[in-house]
Amino acid sequence: MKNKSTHHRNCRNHRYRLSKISNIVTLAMIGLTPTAVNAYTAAGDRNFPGQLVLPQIGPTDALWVPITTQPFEAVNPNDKTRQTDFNATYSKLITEQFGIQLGDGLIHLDRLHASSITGGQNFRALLQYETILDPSREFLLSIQVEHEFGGTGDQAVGAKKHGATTPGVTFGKGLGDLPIGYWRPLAITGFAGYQAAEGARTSFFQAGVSIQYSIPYLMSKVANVDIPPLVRGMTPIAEVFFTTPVSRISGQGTNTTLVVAPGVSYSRGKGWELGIEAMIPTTRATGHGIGVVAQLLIQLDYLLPESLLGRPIFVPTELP
Amino acid sequence: MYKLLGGVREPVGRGASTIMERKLVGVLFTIFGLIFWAGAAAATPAGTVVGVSGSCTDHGRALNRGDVVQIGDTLDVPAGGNLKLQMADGSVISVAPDSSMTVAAYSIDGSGRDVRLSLARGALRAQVTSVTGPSTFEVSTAAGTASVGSASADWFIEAQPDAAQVGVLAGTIDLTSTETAQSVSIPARWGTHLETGLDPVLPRVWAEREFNTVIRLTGAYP
Repeated sequence: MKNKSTHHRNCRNHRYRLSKISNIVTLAMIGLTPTAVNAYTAAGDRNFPGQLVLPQIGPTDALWVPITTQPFEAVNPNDKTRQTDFNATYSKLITEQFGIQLGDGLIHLDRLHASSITGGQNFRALLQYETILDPSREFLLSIQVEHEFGGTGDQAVGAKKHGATTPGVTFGKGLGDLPIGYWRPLAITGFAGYQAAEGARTSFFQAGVSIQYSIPYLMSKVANVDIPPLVRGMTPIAEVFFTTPVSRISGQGTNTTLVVAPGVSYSRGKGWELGIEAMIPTTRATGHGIGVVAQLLIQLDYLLPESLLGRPIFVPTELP
Repeated sequence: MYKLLGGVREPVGRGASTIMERKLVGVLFTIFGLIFWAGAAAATPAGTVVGVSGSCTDHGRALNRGDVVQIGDTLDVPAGGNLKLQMADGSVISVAPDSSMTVAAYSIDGSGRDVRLSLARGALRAQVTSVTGPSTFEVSTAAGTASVGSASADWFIEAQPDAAQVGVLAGTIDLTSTETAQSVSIPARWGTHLETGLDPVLPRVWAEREFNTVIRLTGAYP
């Protein structure tokens, strides 16, 4: 009875928190006027490449397929020795500033003294709104809310029975407007969110940053350096992603995770990007040994610019 | 012997002179022919003025509606003016205020199209029609050259002092840097920027307001 009462109180608190968060997001969406914005992960002459670990910083018409593999330390039989995730996310612009992402995937687990298993991840949907774009300062900021639909994946591979809602904010800032010479191709991006779990599931605070040096920006905005053609399209990038539990539920994964992911993204402005990063775990919960994430991003707005797949559903005015 | 020699020499001398005369006449015909052909080519109309506002000129001559624009012409549009041309292939070129454009080549026939325009300053909108056969339609600026990569296109190019900018409403445009020879393809609803001596910036989606700016710039006629 006591437990049930506590559970109800927790649920009430949780619902209150969720309602509070959704109110804040709604107010932010209403309050921020969409002046001088467009709908791509670019701010002026700065193109932000697709990220492999952190959420994308702006809504767009695109499809991205990351594959992640991470070794783990197994102690007992059935413990996972390696987890490999196959994901796919489809991102669709509804207006120039507002988009939706739908994501799903598979998890493959190699286990100690047991056969491998494969199962589905929980289905995810995300709404994202680009609220600020300042082309001259190469800055953009988006707010977003993601929902993971609990019970839609296979619990045998770790998909949660209960869902979670994650309001968050993302930003990107290029340093091209600063008088810093060859450092102008640098850019930083960031994400912060609160994963509010439903039911018996731990809630997390999530945050991350990336730092990137765009060779295409160097070659097109700073200096004509004599470098091989392959290097001209590269953007060295390092992402750091951190999660820490806010409310602990016994028996759930409640450890802090921190992954550092240095790598490179490649794009020549042909409608696709390829990225690969090492996944260096810094806590036991994050993994054991170096993993790898690779991602192919298809820019549907570039490849199919005149079809519904490549342009916003609602365009403010029809161009003559 | 002398007579013999003279008899031989005389006809030979006359013959040589006749041959030389014939050659001279042939060369003169060729030269005149080339001059006539070149003159005819230079006089080939590239297009017609269908809209003009302000004191637009062609080599200093004031342009009026209905005037013919020929290969080699340099068209100047003053600040506050506008010029609209209907070209020989059906394409429409709208020149923005404070622009200077030269028609370097404009040939269209059954074998295809070869169009080369030069934009020294200002901006233009080119609504390029499709033609049968191979087609080249390019606009060069100091920073780089933009060429139509699709059968037809509707696009803008702006020549700035140290840069060029291209926006594409329909079709595909390839923008190549003069200095580095690196190029990018720009699809419909995208645009990009090129600074002199550098690679083109990776293209991005252009917002409606960016297109509206260049549409207004190239589209005001009386």
